[in-house]
Amino acid sequence: MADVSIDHIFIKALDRTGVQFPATKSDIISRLGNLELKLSSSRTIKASSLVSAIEPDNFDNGAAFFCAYHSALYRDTYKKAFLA
Amino acid sequence: MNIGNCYPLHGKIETEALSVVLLQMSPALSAKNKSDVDLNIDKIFEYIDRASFGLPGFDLVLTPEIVLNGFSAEFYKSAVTLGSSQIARLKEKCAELQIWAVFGVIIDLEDGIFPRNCALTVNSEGEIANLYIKTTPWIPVEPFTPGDEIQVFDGPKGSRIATIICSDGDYMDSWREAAHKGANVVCRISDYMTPYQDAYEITNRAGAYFNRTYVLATNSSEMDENFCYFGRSMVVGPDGNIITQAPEGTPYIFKADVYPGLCDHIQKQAFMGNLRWQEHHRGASSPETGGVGRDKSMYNCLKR
Repeated sequence: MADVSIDHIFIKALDRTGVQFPATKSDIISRLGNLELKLSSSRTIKASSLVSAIEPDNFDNGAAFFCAYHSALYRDTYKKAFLA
Repeated sequence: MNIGNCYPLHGKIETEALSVVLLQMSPALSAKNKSDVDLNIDKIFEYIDRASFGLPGFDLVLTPEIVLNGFSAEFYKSAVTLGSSQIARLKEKCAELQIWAVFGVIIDLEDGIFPRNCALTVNSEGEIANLYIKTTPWIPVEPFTPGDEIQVFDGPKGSRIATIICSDGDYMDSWREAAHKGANVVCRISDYMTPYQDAYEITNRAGAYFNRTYVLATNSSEMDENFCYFGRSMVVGPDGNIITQAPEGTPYIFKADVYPGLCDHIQKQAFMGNLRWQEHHRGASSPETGGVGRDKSMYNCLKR
């Protein structure tokens, strides 16, 4: 079975945290706690790890956060796919 | 309305409802003196009174551009001062009905300079809340002295209002300046005439979409000695879609409820479509830009 959309599951998780922007990286990590995102029957990922990988520490708004999240996500995906 | 683009708009939205009435109309006559202006005010009040019966309880009403004067070749002869009995009548009417209103009027500021084409906003206490002077008159036709500032002021029900006038809206900087200063509602009053029907709609909708604000656009209807005003007044949502619209060419009174706090929420919470932030952070989701993106310095057109 293919993985579910990581964006979809991550947005669902963020929605539950009630995070309001502007926000800091540490605040979002704290809100996510130990929440595990289930991507498939055999694969999970710690939600806070997605935020830890983000480069900026502060986000003026939701768009700033999500762009930074995607930047980090694709950076790590690129490394795994092409540089490993 | 789609306010989150491809993503949901995250978080709890808190906002009041702002009830707005738009008057699509013509002046009673093209004024050549102050008495004529009084006749035009009589007609405006007749429309407002109708709205107070048919659409009771509204917060804000808008007239078209220079509807106190009309747009004749001699319009400057009917300019009124802020201390005139005509402006006093507008203030009394707003206080009487406890409404805010944006009036299109030619103002003589008594400074020896050619009159200004203005949007005069009166609050529900009968006080002048804002006087906006049209910054980009319709040249070469309009001889009005231009203003030099797009202003934003606090309005009712959580609104932060900018008023712009007709051809101001043909320049994208007018809209952007209003949004940059925090406007969540842009009121565009106009005397748009044929053949600009499509340009009127395109610019209203683009102004709303690019800046994620409501646009309340009130246009004149019918014909005067010189022009044919096509009406089509409209309320546009922050996604650029028309919420409600008046028909073409005829007098019309209509109402919409808008939610100013929604625009504020979009600017803070939306994961996607915050164009005002995104244009200053090009490619921010690329691994090569560190999650921050690149600025606008590539644009030669901004270096003039």
